Amino acid sequence: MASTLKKIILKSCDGKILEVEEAVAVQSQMIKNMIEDDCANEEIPLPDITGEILSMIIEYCKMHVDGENNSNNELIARDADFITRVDLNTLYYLIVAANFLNVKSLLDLTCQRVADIIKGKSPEEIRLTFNIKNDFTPEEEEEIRKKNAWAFDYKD
Amino acid sequence: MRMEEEDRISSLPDEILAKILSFLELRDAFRTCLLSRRWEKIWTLTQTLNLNLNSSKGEESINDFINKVLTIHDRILPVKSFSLSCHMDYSYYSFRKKVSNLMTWMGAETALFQCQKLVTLNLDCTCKALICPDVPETVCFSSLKNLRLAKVLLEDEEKSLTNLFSACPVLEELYLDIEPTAFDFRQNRKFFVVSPSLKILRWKCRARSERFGSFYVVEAPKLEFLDIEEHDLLGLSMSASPSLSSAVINIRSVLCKSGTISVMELFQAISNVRRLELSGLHKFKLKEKLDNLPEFCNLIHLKIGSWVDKRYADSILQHSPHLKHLIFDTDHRVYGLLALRPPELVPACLMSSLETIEIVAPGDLEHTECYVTEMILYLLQNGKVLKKMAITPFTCKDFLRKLREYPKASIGCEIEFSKLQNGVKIKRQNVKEELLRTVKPDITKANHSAAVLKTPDKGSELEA
Repeated sequence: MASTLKKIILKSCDGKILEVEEAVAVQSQMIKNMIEDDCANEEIPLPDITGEILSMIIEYCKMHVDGENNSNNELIARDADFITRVDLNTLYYLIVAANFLNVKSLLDLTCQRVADIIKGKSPEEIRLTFNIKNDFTPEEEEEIRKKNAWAFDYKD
Repeated sequence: MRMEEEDRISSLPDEILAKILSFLELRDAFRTCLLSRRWEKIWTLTQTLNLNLNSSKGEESINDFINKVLTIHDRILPVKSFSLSCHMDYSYYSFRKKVSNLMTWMGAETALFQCQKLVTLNLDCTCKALICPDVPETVCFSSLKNLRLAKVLLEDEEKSLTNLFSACPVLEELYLDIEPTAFDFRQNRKFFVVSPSLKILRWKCRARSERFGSFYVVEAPKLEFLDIEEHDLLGLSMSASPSLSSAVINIRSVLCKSGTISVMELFQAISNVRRLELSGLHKFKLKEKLDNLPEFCNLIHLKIGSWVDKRYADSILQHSPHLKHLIFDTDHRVYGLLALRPPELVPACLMSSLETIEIVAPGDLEHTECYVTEMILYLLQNGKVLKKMAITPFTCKDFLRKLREYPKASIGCEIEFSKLQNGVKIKRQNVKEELLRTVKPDITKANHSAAVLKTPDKGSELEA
């Protein structure tokens, strides 16, 4: 059975070659378009996506294809399990890859995860978490605070 | 959690950063403008606004706040999705005097209504006091596809909802959550859902007491999915929706004497469905003639939940000639089993089309096992084309012995037992997630009556 299924061959930027069943690969809108345009018969090179990230994305897509008949709650639980295992660095590369491959549900999941990390944190805490450099002068920062005081001051 | 050395997140494209912020409550998203120059304007690019206000500041300051947010947003990109969740603790009367009409306010003073791009509007007011007296006729949501009104009180529901729906020419999904509050003494409320474009309709109404039932008029010819949770239905008038394919009906009771007529009308209106889930229906007051039930010719999947009167369950089975999949999913240990008894007449579908049956019984079966056993044996005895019977959970020790000896109409029928994790003391709502699907008995087809069950490790106590 399995051998008759069409395989799509993906090549990561570090040279790793992965064979993926078509049903799994078409979770990526980009690959789906390529298949429809008959451009997916040879290996598809994926610049900017490492083998490690690609394997994770395939794992994710597989989980969704296999879990099609599961209840929504089950899928949500699996998604949560998948995404909470991921560190910030990997999360960044997953976002880039999900965006490039156009896997909408994974892009939503990863962006939601970043949002959850930001949630409730002060600007300073967010900067620390993501190593964002504050390039405002203290005066500029004060200016923004002043201009938007209505929003900063609005507390429950 | 810290990221190593580099600031990678800031290198993501604008639209990804905006997407990230669209998952946040507005003030969390807004705060990111202080992070760095890169982030200063990102929050204004989100087209999704989620506001969650737990305010005791008064409606003026809330309106003012929302107004500012919207005007800032509108200058850059149109708002496509607006969610407002209010949790306020005003008493009805003091608030009622002061409250500005949210809908009117939005129509008159902000860009929200003029913004033709709004696709999703979600108003959830658990404050028990947000009132929208009248939806003005001038309102037009020309792009609005998803509308969710949860616990929003409308002073004149009939007029407001009619105005609102006519202002949404492309509305596809409507969710109405109508919970009468401690301050709402209105009876006989009427809801008119008239929308030529509507595809998905969900309404939920939990009445406080029987005096507060509601009346519904639904005219949605393009409806595909209907989900009703209604505790006290006064009456229902529903026009035909030929494309309706799926319905979830949970009606606890029908109050008026003509109640059965409206329920029959509901069944008539949904008789095209392929998939039907039923629960409730136990408190109907008339000894109605169920002969008037329509034929469910397209029905393939039927799920019967708790509190379904056996007469309804039997009739619907009788009237579903092509049913393939039947689920009894019962979470109430007494009322859940109402329908789980053999019907008097063998339904035609059982003999000709029914392929899978799933029985999910309450965890504790000590007192009810005999009913379930009887039903299972009955179904096996009569299910001529049955391929699979799944039972969750089953603890009766005599049952397996009985099952072996019992004549079965379908020789190849597979029987699957699912068990609960860590014994049976698991809350019902978790059961689905925690089923162990691994306990699958082997079945040999040695002779006519034999479905010999061998249960591996985890199910060994079943053997006893």
